[in-house]
Amino acid sequence: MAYGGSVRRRVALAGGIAFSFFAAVLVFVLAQDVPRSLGTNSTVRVSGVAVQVPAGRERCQAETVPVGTRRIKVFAAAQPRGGPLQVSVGAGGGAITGESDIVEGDEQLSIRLSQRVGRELSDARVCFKNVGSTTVQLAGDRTPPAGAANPDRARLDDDARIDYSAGGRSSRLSFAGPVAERLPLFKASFFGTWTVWALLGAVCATWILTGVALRRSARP
Amino acid sequence: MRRQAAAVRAELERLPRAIWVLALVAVINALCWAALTPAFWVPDEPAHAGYAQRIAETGALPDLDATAPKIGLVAGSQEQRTVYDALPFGVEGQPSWSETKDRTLDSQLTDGPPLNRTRPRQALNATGNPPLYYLLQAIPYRAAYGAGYLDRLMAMRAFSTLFAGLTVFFGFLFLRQLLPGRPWAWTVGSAALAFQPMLGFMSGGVNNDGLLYALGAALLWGVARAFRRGLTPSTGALIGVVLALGLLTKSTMIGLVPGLTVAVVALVLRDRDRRSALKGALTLAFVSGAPFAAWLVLRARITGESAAPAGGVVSASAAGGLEGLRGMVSYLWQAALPRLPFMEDQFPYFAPWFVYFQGFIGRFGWFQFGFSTLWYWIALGVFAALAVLAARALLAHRAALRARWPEAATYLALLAGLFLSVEVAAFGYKDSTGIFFEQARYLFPVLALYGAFVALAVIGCGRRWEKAAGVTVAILAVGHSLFSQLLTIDRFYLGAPY
Repeated sequence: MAYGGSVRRRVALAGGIAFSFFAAVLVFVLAQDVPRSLGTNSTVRVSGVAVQVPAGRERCQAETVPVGTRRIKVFAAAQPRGGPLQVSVGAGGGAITGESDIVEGDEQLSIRLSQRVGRELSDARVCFKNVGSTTVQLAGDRTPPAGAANPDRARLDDDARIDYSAGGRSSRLSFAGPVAERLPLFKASFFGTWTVWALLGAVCATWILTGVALRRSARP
Repeated sequence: MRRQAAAVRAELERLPRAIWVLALVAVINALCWAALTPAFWVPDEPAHAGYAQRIAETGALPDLDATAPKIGLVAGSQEQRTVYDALPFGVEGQPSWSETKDRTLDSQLTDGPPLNRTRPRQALNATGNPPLYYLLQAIPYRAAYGAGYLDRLMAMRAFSTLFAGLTVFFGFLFLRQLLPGRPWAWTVGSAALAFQPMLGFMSGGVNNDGLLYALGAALLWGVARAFRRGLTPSTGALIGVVLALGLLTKSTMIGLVPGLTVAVVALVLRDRDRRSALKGALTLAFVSGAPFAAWLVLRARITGESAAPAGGVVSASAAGGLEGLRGMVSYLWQAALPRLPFMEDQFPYFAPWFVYFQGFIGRFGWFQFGFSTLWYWIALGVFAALAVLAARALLAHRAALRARWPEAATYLALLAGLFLSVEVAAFGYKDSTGIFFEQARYLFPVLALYGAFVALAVIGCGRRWEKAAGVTVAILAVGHSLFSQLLTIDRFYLGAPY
């Protein structure tokens, strides 16, 4: 009995320490701030081609702009420097505008728009006007670099890659709602916002079941 | 026959409750992965789903076309291509979450003009695989036949999660044979298996690896059982059936044949009733070899290709003569060990660390995103501690280890044979395409050895501390799984940089 009691104490101590460590890391991870990303038009992580915006010219492309967009990011290059780029996001007659800094070498340009996009613009036209005196190149959105993802070195019909963001950062935990809305997209038809909560329940169930299995096996 | 069925039923009833519970945990865990991971984001899923769709729709094997373009899914069915083109995640890209685009895809798949479901070459790079997994996947596909493509894909994924349960089930049985009288160690080792994130991730997708892992675990159980009971025609037949099913699932199973040969030789040599052991060996060879040979002949007839599996890999490696052989030896060495000064650099990274250790802890998607380096170092610390404890257990039980050294050598040979077969194939592939393909998941047919490693570490803590250590390890395994899933949420639903 005394032996059984000491085993229980050790189990409680070790389990308590391990669980506290686990819980502390979980809280730390969930409280960490992450960028408030809203999406991208890109299907590649690294672009294999660039599209040109010559000096004084404008390049436009059709886009679906997510609701809440306040910043757009493009991957630009100019030698030795180029731009700035004037950006306009137009849909249904109105337009939201913004202007980038001068492009020097290769850099990511995060361009703040004059106002937040209030609803998803599924038929938007995003235009980049190069008001500088040298050509600016923008990374493409479709063609991967030659290699595993593009063994035939194919060249697709790329637009400029655009990443959309709400600007700033928020904790992971504050994204619980958006994650619940995003997870069912492009999934089975019966998925909905409930899926995230069902997953949470399923994860908890695995913990409980594991506890049950351990408890049964621990019996002499 | 009825007596045998009754014996099996009695055997199942004698199993500890924990085995069923942990198998269920593995299935639920894999279901979570199936729901979390976007369509086509499990490695090669478009190809495997294409193969299953081809068989389910037509009953025919897919055709091979080496000249088909390799970008996108040009050879896929209209359904496959529509989904592939509409997915906002891309093969390497950041995600986006447009409800409008989601609705557009949905109406393309269900309301628009009917899309064709099958094309002869829709299995893409999975075309050469044996058909067993895809025949099984035809069941959920046909069950959800009237539903949209994404529903059918989810049905196939859900079916695949059963293989995670089987992997843990057979892993538990293996530990029970390996470490008799240590139920606590079996449970903790199996819990570690059930929460292994790469097992859940792979089994939560449409990929024949899931079935292969289950059959690999069953093979280890069969081998351990043969070491306990002797190689008889019935133990040999069991191993033979499992090996045959494995060979009809994926040719990677061939990598376990050298280790199995070591086991058979050891079992025959040690058996006093050598005639019975030889009968067992012959039964094993026939039961495993006949169906596989039949498949090779059938495939050669259908496709007109050579019946020799993996022959291309070996010939490609040997094509360069001595220089090619030297390159291959150097490549194999560096896949497992640090490069020696006279060797040419074969990898742009330290393969044992990046491919195998990080890949085991977790690299998800198309081996594309994982934890930050700090977490891999922490995991290395945990694994080093477990290794010390496992070594302590082996040292404490060295008399038993000495007595069972042929069995221990068999497990090492199974692991080494599998590793070498993967790396020889990877060398051939790298040689011809310049692309590295080895990943830790290719070693998962012997994943049950990970359960054994954890179980030994728990035993290494001694009777006084083994319960406490077991609970600690189980909590770490739970954390490992949960943080892997959070990482996946970060990648796909928060758009975190990676």
